Amino acid sequence: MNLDKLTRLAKPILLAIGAVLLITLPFYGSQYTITTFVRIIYFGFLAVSVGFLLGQGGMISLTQTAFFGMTGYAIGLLGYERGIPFPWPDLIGIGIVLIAAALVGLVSLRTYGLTFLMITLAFGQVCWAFATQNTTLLHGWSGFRGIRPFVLFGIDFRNSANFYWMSLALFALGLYILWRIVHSPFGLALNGIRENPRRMIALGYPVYWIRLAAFIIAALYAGIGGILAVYYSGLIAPPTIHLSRAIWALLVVILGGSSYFWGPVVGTFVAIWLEVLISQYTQRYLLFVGLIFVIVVLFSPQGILGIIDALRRRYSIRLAERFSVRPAGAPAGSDKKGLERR
Amino acid sequence: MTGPDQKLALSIQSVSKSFGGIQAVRSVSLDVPVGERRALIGPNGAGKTTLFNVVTGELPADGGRIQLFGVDITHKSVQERAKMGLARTYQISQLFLHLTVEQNLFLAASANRGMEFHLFRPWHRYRSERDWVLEVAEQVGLSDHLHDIVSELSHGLQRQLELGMAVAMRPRLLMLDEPAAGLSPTERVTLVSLIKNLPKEITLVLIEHNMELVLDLADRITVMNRGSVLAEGTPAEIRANEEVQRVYLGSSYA
Repeated sequence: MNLDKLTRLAKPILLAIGAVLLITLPFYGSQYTITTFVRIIYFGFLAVSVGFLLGQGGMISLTQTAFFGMTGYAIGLLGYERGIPFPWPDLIGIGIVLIAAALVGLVSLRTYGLTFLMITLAFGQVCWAFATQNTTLLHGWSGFRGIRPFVLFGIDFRNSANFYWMSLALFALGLYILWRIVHSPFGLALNGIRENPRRMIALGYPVYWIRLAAFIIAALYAGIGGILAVYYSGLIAPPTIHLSRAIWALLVVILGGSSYFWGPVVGTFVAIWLEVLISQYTQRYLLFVGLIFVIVVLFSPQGILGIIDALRRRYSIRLAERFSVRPAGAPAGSDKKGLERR
Repeated sequence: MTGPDQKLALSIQSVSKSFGGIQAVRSVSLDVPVGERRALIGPNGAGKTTLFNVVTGELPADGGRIQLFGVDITHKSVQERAKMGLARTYQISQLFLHLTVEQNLFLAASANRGMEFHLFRPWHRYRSERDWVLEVAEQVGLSDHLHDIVSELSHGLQRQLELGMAVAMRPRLLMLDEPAAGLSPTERVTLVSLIKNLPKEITLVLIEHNMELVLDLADRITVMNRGSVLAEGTPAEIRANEEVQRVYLGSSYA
């Protein structure tokens, strides 16, 4: 059997098995497992939002949780409290997110790096402070509790299996679209800006507008995650949009590997499962999650996918030496591409 | 003043630029005919790179006029000048280090083509841009390195890519700021032959310190000193000019 062919076949087979396992999860997984996976998906949307800005555009934003909370609050205020039927509160929430992202972007994207981070931090804190202090509309610290999902086309999304399938489909679609965006001329231009904004300006690219578009796209992903979160948890309150969650999302992206497309997804998956597993044994699970994070990043600045990438490359080189063939999937000469990076 | 003259690629008329109290460029006038290869030489601090930055629009001129192919560009933006066919390279390579050679060239080739907001089609499926990228890679000797990450290339190959980025923009006037900076003698030979083989319809203006390279490449030479033009002429004339020898050239070129 040809080694090249074998490794080339392995990838789609593994992907297919993974997809089947994910889709059939409600048939073999416990209620708790389903809940955990739904959490992975909605926090995955948040992490993808942060990871897209960081990995593709080189922008570290601490304001994505605000967008995550905005749709939740819109649904709590308009849908739950005022009784406006689905999907209007959700769509209005998305609209608010897009407008807010455009406004924040217009101001913050004049800057780069640390200054950009500080402006997004300030905006996130303003949203959080507003949510805690506004008692007339947003009910301050208590927020909205008891929000229930909708029934659509006779499908009851209060059933957690149904909700899981919808979330999974939405996540898959969202990731596919983002994958296309990342590999489009727009995505490449965004990478160029990450690498060297000055040269991009000299080449004639509208750098400011490209970054703004990326910022709005990222906010949309956070907003969609927020919709799923509020329906499934039934709760939207200030802790959801607290700074610690924004930092958590950033850490998760780095844990997975910020320069990889799948980094945010892998990071969220690992972080949430670690929380779930370790919290069975100790209340101080955050300490252990933190330790594991430090260890991973210490040994691999490119996160978990960076480790896998390095192992895979070493393994394929060793295989190649033994069978004296080229490393799997490598173009003539070298294997510099590794996993689908960036 | 002269009207639009299609015979001149670049016409600089008494352009000045100062930084605070320092006059980096003092009333410089310079005409470069279409198709010429012009070298700009002079000691460090003579104002060559400043003049470059003023011509490309990265620095605004304090006074004077700049015409590109007969059109006044004095108050145009960098982007507008780039669209009119002006491209440059930098003394210190300005590349996208963590992207591949092909991606770097593609970014240069697809600039100003209204593609940056195409969100869905993979960039490598844009056939005409891609063909052009392959052609440019061939011209600058990078065909074998298309899929290499730029940060892993040797300095010489990075300088070739810096040249390729400018060529990929389909320029009519190409300005090279010390293209051979930091190259080994062998790398320099490669780069010189690449520059020599560039299509003749591209007008070239280059800053260079290496005299062999300048004498080899240039049709005409402009010598600058302390922000002003000291002399202009063919390589032979410049070599014979006593004043130039005094400020700049070593006696070995006399």
